[in-house]
Amino acid sequence: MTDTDPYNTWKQARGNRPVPERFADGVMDEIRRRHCPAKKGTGYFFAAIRPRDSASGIEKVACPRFCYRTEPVRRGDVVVFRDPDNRSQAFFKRVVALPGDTVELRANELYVNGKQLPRQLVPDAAATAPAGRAAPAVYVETNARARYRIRLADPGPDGPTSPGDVPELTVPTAHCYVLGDNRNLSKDSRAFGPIPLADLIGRAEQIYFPRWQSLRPEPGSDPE
Amino acid sequence: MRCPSHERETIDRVLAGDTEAFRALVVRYQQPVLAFVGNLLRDRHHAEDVAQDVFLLAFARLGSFDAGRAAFSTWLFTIARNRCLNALSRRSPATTAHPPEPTDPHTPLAGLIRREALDQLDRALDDLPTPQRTAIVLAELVGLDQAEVARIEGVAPGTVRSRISRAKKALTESIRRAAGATE
Repeated sequence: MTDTDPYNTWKQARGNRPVPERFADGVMDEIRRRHCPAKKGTGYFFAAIRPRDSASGIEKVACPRFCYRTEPVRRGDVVVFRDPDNRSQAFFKRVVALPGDTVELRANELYVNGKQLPRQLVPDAAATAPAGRAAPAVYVETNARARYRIRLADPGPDGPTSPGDVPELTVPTAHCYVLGDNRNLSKDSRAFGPIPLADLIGRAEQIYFPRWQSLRPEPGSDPE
Repeated sequence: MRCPSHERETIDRVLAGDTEAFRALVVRYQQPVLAFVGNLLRDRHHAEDVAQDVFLLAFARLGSFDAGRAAFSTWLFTIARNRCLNALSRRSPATTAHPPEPTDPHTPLAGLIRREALDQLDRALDDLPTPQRTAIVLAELVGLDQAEVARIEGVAPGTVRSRISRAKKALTESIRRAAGATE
């Protein structure tokens, strides 16, 4: 048979059926839907927060939901979790210690596993403060492999919402210890204790309003 | 035929939990599987559903695939063949008639003649006994070698050879008959 034979033409036409656009995407979507329940509902959780020492009003934060079903929680992550006292409300705090770690706060110094976390003053950091108060001092704190900024503000007449010092405690299994980045003006694990990992909604990754700002810790140099 | 090492690595990654690695296998085999299923079932939408099912089933059963015994393609086409046979057995006689498939004519007259010839061959393929149909589609339209077709069909290579030969004869005969009728 030659190439112009009907049989060869038919062979070529029927053997090279076009593949529908996005066929592979459809298969992969269905596989994810059926076999990866951990990723069901993957999406972003958006929230408006009003930091206690912020002069700029509200900030809007985006965080991927359910990321901790597939990834481990790390020190330095800013996590979103349910307020233990009011389950309809969510908190954004930074994880400073993981299950099994010991934590202690003494004179504004944080100790994890018996080691004082090193921190450096950022001299020209543009931290804002509500009217009538001194601008908080900004430090870069290094916690294991993460480096992040914290603010030590003057508590002012409202006073701190958490006790300043915390005696050494061990974070229980399946819990983590969280502190606010505004160390002296934060309701956090100092008030309500370590939080269950099951209460984590997601990881806050960025503030997208009023200006974009990453909340992910910078990589640090200290070994885990 | 043994499973190529790059495919084996992909399969190992999928089995280790990297679900997304399976996309490479889908992309590699989507065209031949659609050609196979489409030529057996003819209905385009039904064929796409069954082809998707083939890949989903392959993903779900990947743990049972033995790379030392067969190539991934052989295993995949065995699943595809079984799914098609199930679909064909469930199909009611009323749904076996299908509209002619679209072709791409160069000129109206040439296109008409070409289309008529292709439709004639489609009808002749549909009239073949199922073992001959699956064998000729796998060997001639998908382009698998006869030894692989024999493994997919679970028969001896000689049996596949004779099925393909008889199917080809029936198809060419149908063209000859159609040409004779128009003269």
